[in-house]
Amino acid sequence: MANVISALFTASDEQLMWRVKLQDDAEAFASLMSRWQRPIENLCIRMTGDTHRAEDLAQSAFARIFARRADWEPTGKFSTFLWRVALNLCHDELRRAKRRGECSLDALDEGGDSQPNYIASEDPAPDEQADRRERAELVRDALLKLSTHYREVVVLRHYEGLKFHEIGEVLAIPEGTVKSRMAEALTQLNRLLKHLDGDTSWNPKTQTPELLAL
Amino acid sequence: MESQDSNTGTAGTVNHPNSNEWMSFLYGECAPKRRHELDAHLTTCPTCAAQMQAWRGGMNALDEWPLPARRHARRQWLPAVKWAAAAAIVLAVGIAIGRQTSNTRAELDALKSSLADLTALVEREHNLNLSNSIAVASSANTEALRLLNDYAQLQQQQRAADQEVIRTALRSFDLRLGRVRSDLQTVAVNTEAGFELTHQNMAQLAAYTIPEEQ
Repeated sequence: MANVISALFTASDEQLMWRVKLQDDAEAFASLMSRWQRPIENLCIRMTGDTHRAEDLAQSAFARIFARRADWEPTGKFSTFLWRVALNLCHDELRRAKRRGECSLDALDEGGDSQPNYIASEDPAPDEQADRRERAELVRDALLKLSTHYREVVVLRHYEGLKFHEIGEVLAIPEGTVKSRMAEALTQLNRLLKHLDGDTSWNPKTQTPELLAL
Repeated sequence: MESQDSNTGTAGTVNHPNSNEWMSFLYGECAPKRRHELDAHLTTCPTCAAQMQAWRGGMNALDEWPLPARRHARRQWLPAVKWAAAAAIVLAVGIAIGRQTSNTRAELDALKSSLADLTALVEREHNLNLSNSIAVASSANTEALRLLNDYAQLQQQQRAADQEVIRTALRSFDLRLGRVRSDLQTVAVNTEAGFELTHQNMAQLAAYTIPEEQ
């Protein structure tokens, strides 16, 4: 009930964006940023595998939207527009990294500042934390190994919780294609990570030739 | 999963749902009735059950990469709440002790006075924190707006520079076009003169008669 009442008095994303477009309303834009900054950063982290780069990309996405506020037309959902802008920036970044000859996995494995910190619920033992961290890194590496058109579908559906038809709108492809890509992505992930399931003692250094070959 | 791309089967063949339907099933997007049918199919079809296990393996693996933990600004109103809680506890204890020991007019007045003091204290603390929060948010907003405007300005400058380059290229193209036109006119004039000369030569040739030998 409280949610319904608060929803009645909360401006929608589209209403806020209209205020930004027509009145350069900073408060409205700040509200949009506070709503969407975290999901967009998460999207960029999953797409690039790099926390710091993802923060920059998320900021660039909002800056681009603000710079183009006059061009914005409410023909669709604001979120669809935002996801699309952020994904395009991720694609550009991945292309730039490829041109520079960077390997994102190598960059991540260097440790230090670019390493994401993983949530450790209820402070498990250090060896358990290390194990979780290792498994997370393997999943991240496997995800980064997927083609970007598979990865973006996985990230939007599995991590960001968009419906398949919403992903179709963001990527401008039919819903059936989204589902086909999802099925293929899950098949590839299972093949890359089949040893991960239920085997906590598994040693990745000896049992993941596909990932270690990266 | 080529064998599962058919929804309709003839008598005697197995009726496998396609991968798109399984994706909707896995992510809870299919209708309850269809979900029930797919559930039933899984219990009787080892092929589909094996495929589902592979997809679920991929999904479970994805959950092994948790969200990165990030620092969040502490909520500014939290100290006020703490003060309020502390005041409430002090008051509750005071009232309880007062009831146990005495309820004389003087003690009640003292208690009321303490209540007023504590209320004022909480109010001051709350106002202070609120004004600090507003100041911080306002400064952050101003900074964000400034950065966004800088970005927009940069974009405009870039666009103006691009337009200038295009204009220069067009001017150069115009000049070249003028030269080509002039060359073409010269060629046309020369060709016309050539035609005229040829015509005269042909007329002379036609008029030419071999002189009779005497």
